Amino acid sequence: MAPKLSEIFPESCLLIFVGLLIGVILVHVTDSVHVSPLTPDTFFFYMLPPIILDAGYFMPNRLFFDHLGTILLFAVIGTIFNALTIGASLWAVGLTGLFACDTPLLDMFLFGSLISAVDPVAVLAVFEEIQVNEILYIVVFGESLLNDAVTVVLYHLFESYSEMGLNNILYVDVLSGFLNFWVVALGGTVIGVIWGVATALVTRFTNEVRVIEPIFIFVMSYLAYLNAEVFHMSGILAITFCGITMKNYVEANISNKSHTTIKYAMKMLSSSSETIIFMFLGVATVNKNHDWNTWFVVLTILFCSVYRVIGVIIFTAVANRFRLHQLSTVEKFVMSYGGLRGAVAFALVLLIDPKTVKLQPMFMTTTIAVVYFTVFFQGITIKPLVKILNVKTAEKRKPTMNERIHERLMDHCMAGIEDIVGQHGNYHIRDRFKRFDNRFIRPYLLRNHQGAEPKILETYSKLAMRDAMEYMRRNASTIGNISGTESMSAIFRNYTTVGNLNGRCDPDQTVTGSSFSQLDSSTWNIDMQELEYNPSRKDLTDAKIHHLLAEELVKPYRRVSHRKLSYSRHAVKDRDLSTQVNYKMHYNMRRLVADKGRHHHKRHSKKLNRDGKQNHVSFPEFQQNGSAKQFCHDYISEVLNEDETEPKSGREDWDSPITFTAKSSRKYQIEWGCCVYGSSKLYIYIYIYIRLYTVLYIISHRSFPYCLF
Amino acid sequence: MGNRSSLLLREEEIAQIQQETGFTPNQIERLYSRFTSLDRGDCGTLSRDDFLRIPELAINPLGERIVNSFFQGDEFADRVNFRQFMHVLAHFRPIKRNKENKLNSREEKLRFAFKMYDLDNDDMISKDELLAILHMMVGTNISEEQLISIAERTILEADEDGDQMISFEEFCKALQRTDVEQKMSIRFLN
Repeated sequence: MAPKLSEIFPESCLLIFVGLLIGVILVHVTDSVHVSPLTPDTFFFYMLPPIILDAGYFMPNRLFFDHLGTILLFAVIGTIFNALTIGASLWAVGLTGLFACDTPLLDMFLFGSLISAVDPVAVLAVFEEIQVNEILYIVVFGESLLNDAVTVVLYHLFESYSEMGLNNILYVDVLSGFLNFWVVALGGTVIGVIWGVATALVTRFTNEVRVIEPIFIFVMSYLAYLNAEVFHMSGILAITFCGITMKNYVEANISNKSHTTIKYAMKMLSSSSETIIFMFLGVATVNKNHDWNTWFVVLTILFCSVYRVIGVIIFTAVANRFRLHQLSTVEKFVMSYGGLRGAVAFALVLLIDPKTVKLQPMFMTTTIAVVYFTVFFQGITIKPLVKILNVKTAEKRKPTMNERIHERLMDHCMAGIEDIVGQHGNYHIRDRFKRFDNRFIRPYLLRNHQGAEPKILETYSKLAMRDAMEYMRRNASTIGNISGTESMSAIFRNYTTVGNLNGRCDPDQTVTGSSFSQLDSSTWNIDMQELEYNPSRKDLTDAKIHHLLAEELVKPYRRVSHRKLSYSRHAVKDRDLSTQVNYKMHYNMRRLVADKGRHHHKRHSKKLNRDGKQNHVSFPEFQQNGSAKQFCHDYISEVLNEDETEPKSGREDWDSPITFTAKSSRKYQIEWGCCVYGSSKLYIYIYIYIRLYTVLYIISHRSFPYCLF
Repeated sequence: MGNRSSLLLREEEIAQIQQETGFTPNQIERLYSRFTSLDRGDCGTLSRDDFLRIPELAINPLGERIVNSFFQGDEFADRVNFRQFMHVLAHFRPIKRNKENKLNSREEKLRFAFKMYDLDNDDMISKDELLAILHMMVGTNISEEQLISIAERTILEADEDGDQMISFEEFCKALQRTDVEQKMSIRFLN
């Protein structure tokens, strides 16, 4: 039942329905209390900004600006057209006396202006579900965002006109209304851009306090909204453009984790706002101030739909003259069908003062009816219609490296061609902006500005990261490969199969040990002493192990020890989880090391008796070893200390095993140099064997704890 | 200027170019006037320098490659006449659904992009060629190793037969989801 319900109805419908239920219950239970949670103030100050910020921040910038002309045409001219035609038609019908009430022209225009605006919240809610292609989406959604300025201006214009009365309006007022539009729209945009740049600049300096990075994004964009509203400019435009502006720079500055935080916090805020808005819309429907006028409602819905279609047909015809991608009939249909009305209209109708506009209750009821009609009827039918009409649906995917690079090449190419042809089209403007951006904006806003093509680098690092993750997941046991050196198993094989120290490798080994032989020849030296010391494959392998360990293993554990040093309110301890894991792992390792150590020690001392004297370098250490034993009876620390060239044991206990492996091999090389031709070959073999065993154990068990926890 | 240039272009020439490229006579005349304004020496052909005298093209990172693509036809061509000029530009006409034209098909557009990479004209994009283009686009601020690894990654991704090169087929395949018809078209003014 439940999945079927959500398949048929868009989320917004179900939410309104739930809201309605709640409203009915509230009215019946508390008869005296009047509940109207959706006041214009809460709506405009708290609920709308998160949604618009989300829309602006995750706006596909390129797509948006590619279609900006069309979007503006619909948002500005289209909305004005709709407002005036709906208002005028209602007024004309009103003259016939069909509505059985007085319908002044200005009131009708006021109503027309608030009912004509396509609502961003409703459009988002429905279009996210139907997943139409991106061009269609951006045109309808962009229109719904940008028409806010027009709606606000028209609304205030007609509100003040209707307060003044029709006879008192001068030409100056009309003119000032027109100018007002530019101020509101451009002012909002400019404020948004300024705040966006400011946010980007702030995030440039937050590398020490990563935790508060997301806060800046939210607070500063909200400030942009409030700032614009304070000056009576379009807050929606401000916050949209704030998001659009800051996005690219902020993304380059903040850490990966902040990015995730911002993304999820923003999505969460906006979707909860959306949920609340639709539910409150349902709740607010149930009140006592309704004034139902059937003809008025029916005609409003009719005019809204008809003029939307007419508007779309006219303006796409105009836009297609200038567009590369021609909007087809099916797309026109979806555009006109997607003209949903929503909560913005409702909030605006609540703002009307019933004292000056007598018809306010009727307007409110009609608005609710129109919203219900568009959200329910159009919202439910648009999904099957999109399927029937076979509208190209969107495919979401990450660009591959090839696509990214080749598309950039095409952009440059097209910009060049436009220059040759002598037209200043989209590509030309974008190219010019990019150059300006790279030269004057990025260096100041970004912490580390590199390269003219940040997107290519971004795609590359994302893909590289994904590859690495994929690799880790698929062959977790051969992690050593990632470092670019040979895998541990290859090194180990090399160790065990090479019979004599300086032997050439067998044919089957050349595969695994090819780089060693390369190394061999490259380090070949005619210097006699060097020839004497001819570094064997094992030597080199050993060095490799050392580096592998030094790079792969030591670091993470060292980082653990930072845990004690740094505590800050502004720093998140990301390592907390891994500490636990490491602890467990260390525990296993210590046990193993201890076991091996016991072994090792026995044989070791046996050997020591036999040919200890020839071990010039290591011999003193063994003595030191003995002294250490006196202080510490633990076998582990014994083994550890034994390998420390400098017996510094101030290190944290569980930090040591790894340091030991890394350091040991360093010391070990010194040893090699001195005793490789000594008679202590047996000792060395055992030594290597045990070392490798521990190392392999560590390596193979590095992935182990993840399965455990 | 526009008047004079259109006088120089004979009717049958316009008809011929229209036949070959699909441009409308208006567009051809407009482009011809652009052509003559680029042609400083008034010799009816353009040299590489004539192209690079366009300020935006001179600073376009791929400017030289773009100009070069106009001189593809002949071996030793160092000048391009109006017909060749129009032939190259015809690649960028938007595709009309009902009208078939061999110059602005998807494949031709892709071929043009492919040629931009193919510095040595061997119909293969090698790592070095890709790297050279990346150098031009990305600029100098970035380390060589990073660019090399990007180039390697890119080739690895597209390379299907394992020859460390991208052939034209592999190139098309890598871009099969891209809306090349849109991306490599401009609206020529009338």
